[in-house]
Amino acid sequence: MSEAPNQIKLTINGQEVSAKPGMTVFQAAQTAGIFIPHYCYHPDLSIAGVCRMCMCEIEKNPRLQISCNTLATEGMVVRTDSPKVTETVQSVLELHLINHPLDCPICDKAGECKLQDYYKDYGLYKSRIEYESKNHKPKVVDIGSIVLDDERCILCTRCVRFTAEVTKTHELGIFNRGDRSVLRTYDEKALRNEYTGNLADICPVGALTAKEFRFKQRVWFLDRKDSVCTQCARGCNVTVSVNPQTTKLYRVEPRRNPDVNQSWMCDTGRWNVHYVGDQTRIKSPLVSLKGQWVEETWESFFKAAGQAILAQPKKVLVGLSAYMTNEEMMDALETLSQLGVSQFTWLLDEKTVEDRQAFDGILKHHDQTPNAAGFLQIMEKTKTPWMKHEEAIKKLQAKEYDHFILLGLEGVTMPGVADLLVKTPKETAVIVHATTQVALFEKASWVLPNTSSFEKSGTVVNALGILQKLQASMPWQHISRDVHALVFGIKQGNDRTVSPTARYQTVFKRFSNEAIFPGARSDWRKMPASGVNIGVVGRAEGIKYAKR
Amino acid sequence: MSVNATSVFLTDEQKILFKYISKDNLHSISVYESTGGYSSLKKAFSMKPDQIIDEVKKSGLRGRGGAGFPTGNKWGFVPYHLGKPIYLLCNADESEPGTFKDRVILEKNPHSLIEGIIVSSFATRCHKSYIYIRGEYTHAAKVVEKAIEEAYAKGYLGKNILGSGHDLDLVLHRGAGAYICGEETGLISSLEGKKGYPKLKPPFPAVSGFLGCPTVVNNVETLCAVPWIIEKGGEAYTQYGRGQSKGTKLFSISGWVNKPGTYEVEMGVPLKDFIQDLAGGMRDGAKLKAVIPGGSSTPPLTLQEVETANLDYESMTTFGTFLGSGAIIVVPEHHCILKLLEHLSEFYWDESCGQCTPCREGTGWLYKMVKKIAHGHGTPADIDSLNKTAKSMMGTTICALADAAAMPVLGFIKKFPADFQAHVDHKGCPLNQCGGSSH
Repeated sequence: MSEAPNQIKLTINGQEVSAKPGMTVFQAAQTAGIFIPHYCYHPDLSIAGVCRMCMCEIEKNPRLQISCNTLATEGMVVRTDSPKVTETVQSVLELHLINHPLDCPICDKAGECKLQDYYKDYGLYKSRIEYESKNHKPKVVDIGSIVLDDERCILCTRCVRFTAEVTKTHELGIFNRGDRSVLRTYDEKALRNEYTGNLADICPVGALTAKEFRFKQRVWFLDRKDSVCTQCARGCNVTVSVNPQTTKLYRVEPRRNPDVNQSWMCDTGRWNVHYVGDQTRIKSPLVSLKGQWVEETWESFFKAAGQAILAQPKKVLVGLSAYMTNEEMMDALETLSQLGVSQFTWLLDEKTVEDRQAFDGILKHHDQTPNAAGFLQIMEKTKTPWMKHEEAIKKLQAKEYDHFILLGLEGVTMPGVADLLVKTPKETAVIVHATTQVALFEKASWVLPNTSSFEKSGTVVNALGILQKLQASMPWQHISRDVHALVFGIKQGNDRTVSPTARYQTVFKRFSNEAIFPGARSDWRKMPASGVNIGVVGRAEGIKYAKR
Repeated sequence: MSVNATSVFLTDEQKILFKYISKDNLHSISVYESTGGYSSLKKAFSMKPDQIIDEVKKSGLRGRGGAGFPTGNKWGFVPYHLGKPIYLLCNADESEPGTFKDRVILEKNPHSLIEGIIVSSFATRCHKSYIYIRGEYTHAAKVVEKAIEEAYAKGYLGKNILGSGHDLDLVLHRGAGAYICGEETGLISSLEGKKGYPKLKPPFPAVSGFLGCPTVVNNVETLCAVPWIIEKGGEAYTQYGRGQSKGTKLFSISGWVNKPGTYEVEMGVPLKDFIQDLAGGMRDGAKLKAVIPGGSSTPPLTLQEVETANLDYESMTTFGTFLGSGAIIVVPEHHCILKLLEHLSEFYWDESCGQCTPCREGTGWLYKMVKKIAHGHGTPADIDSLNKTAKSMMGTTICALADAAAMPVLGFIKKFPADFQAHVDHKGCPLNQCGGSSH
C-alpha cells in the first residue's frame, strides 16, 4: 500500500491551494483565506448541510455542490465566485430572509448578525416580499438562560447539534415540518447543561439570545480584547467586551482554540463575572478598628503595615494565590525574598489539584484557579522552598508567624483558602489582598483591593501545560493595586505605583531568557494568541498531571 | 382487459408484472404458487449473487420509483466485503400525487413482491429486509403482513430458505403519512426511528445507509420485475421496450379519462394511444388540455406534445419532462391549470420537511404566489417573480423535493403562459374555478 500524500493541491477561484487529505472544499478554502458564506457549518460541530449557502461550482459537475460536505481532491477545480454561484447564493440568502422579521432595530444580534453581513455582501436587492405575507411565529420563548425568537430562527440546527454532540444533553430539537418548523426544547423544559451560553454565540442570527446580555448593550459600542478565562485551570480562550465609555464589562465569549476549548466555554466562566463591577468589590484599603472597617489610603498601609512586616521578615508567611499571573508571582517572590521573607504557601483548594486531570468531561476543571501550574513551575525553576497547607497550618498554629499575607485573591474565596484563614490563630495579623469582600475576612487587620483578571495583563499556565496570555480589557477599578504594585509599595514604603503596562512585559522576558518556561517568546507582544505549549509543568508531591 | 390483436399493447400472456393480476385471490400464497409463483427462487439460489446482479444489469432494468437509476448498477455499488450487515429496503411509500401503481401490486399480488425481495436479497447478500409502506395504505399493509406470514410458514422466509443456506427476515414497517419518507434517505431516517429528514450525500446509502450499514433501496415495481428477469434472463427483458428504456412499466392514469387505472405496457408506447385505447379516451368527449406524465412533480405536456410523446425515458426528456413514477394525470380544457397548480404547490409546501432553506422557504413562497395569481390578485411582475423563485430552488437542496415543487411551476408557466396572463388580466379565474374575491 502506498502512503497517502501529506498534501493535495487543488485550484479555488484560480488560486492554487494546498489541503490536507480529508479536508473539505470549505476547509481548504478557509486555509487559503478564501471566505465562503455559511450558516449551518461550524468547525466544532458535525456537518448538517442544510443552509445551502456555501455553494461552489466544481469543474465537470453540472450541479452546484455545498463546499462543507464536498471532499477536496487532487486537481479539483473549484469556483466560489462564478456568476452561477453568486446568483445561487443570492437567491438562497433571499429565501433565508423572506420570512425573517425586520427586527434589526430591536435585535441584540444586530451588528454581528450573519444575515446582515451577507445581505451586505451578496444581497442588496429590493425586497419582493409584502410584509403581510410573512409567516409569524412566537417571538419570546423562555428556554432557561436563553430566550428563543422563532421568527428570527433560520433553522440551521447548530444549537441542536451542540446539545447533541458537545454537552450530549439533547435538550433541543426541530419540531413540525416545512416552514412551520420551530426550534424547541423537548417537553418544553428549560436547558439543563452548564454550557448554555454557547448557544447564543453559535446562533448566526438573533434567534437565541442570552438573558445576561439581552437588551443590555449594542455590540458596536463594545471594545473587544482577547484574553483567557481565569475561572478554572482549563483557561478557555475568550474575548472580553467592555464599553470603553463606562469601563463596564458586558460580555465574555469563547475564542476558538482547538487545543484548549474548541469554540466553547462554560456558563460559570462566562457569567460568574459580576464581582468585577458589583457592590462586593473592595474599593479601597480597609483597616479594622474595633470591629469596624475604616477606609484608609494605600500610602498609610505601606507606611504602617509595610514597616511592621519588614521589621521581622522571617516571621511573615505569604500565601500566593493561583489567580496571580506568572509575572506577578515572579515579582512577589523576588521582591519579598530580597526583603528577607522566605515562608511561602499557595492559595487554592488543594483537594481540587490532587488530580490535575479532573474535569467535567467537557471543559470545566475541578481546580477553579487559572495558574496553579504556573505557580509550580516558577517555584521549581527558581528553587524557592514552599509549603503545602498542612505544614503551613502547623506552623501558623505553632505561632511562628506575626504576619500572614494573602496575596492576589480573586472572586469568592474557595474552601482551601477559607480553611487556612479559619485555622490562623488570632495572634497572627492577617493581611488580605482580594477583589471581593467576604465574611471570612473579618479576622484580618487589613483588607486591600486587588485588581481583577479583567484589569491586568500577563501570562498563566493551564492544566494542559499551555502558557497563555491574559490581557487587560479595562483599567484598574476603584483604587485597587495589582501584586506588582503591592510588593513594590511594601518595599518602597510608598504608593508610587509602577506602570501597569510596562512591568509584566519586563518580567515576561525573563521566562525564556532564564528558561523558566521553555518555549516562551522573549517578547510578550509576539506571544501567539493561541498560547505556547510549554509541555511538562513543575511538579509537587502528590499531584497527578494531565496527559496531553 | 380486452385489447385487439393489432394493438401496440401487451396481451395478458405477454405481461411481466400483471400477467395474473385479475386472478381471484392472487394475494393468497396457494393461488400465487399455482401461477408459478416462487419458482424463480430455485434458479436464483443455483446462481452466484454476482451472476444475478449481472443478469439485472443486462436487463437494463431501471428504478421504477421515479428516478430511473439502473438497478443492477445500484446493486453493484455496494461494498460487499466490509463485514457489516447489508440491508435491502423496499420503498412502498408511494406518495407522489397521481401514483397508485405499487398499491395494485401490494393489495393484489403481494407475493410477487416478496419473491422479488428474496431474489434481490440473495443478490445483495442481505439477510434483513424491510418493506416501508405508506401509512395511508392500511388495506395493503394488512394484505402484505398476511403474505409475509404465509411466506414464513412455507419456508420462503426465515432461516435457510429452501435449503439454499440463504437467510432472510422480512419486516413490514408502516410510515406515518409524510411524503418525504418516500425519498430513499428520508425513508432510512424514518426507519431508524428519526424524523424523516433526507440525509446528506455522500455518504451514499450503498456505502452507509440504514444504521450506517450498506443499504439498497428499491421500489416495489422494480423488485417485482427481478424474478422474471432471473427466470427468463436479462436478455429476454430487453426484448421489451426500446433504447435506454427496457422492459415493461406500470402506468397509473387518472384525471378526465373514461377508464382510469393502472396498466402495464411495454416501454415506448405512444402516450396518445395509451390514453385513447387503454384509458378509454377523454370523458364526455372533452378536449385534452394537458397531461402530467410522471407524477405531480413532472412538467406537463401540451396537447400538441401528447400527440407525439412516447412512454419512455428518452421521449419524455425531449419534451423537457420525465417519466417519473409513471403517474399520468389527464387535464381537460374545462379544468383550470392555475387551480391544479395551486393544489400541487400546496402539496409540496405542506410536505417539505423543512431541513434545507431553499425548499422550506421556497415551497411556501411558491404556494403563496401561485395562489395570489390564481385568485386574481397577481400582476405580470408576479409571474416573473414566481418563475425566478422556482428557478432559484432547482438543484439547491439535499433531496429533490425543492425541484419537485419548482418543476411543475416552471413547466406550467412555460407551456401555458396564456392561462397565467388570463388570471392577471381577468383579475380572477376565467373558468370561475379558483377561489378569490373577484368572483
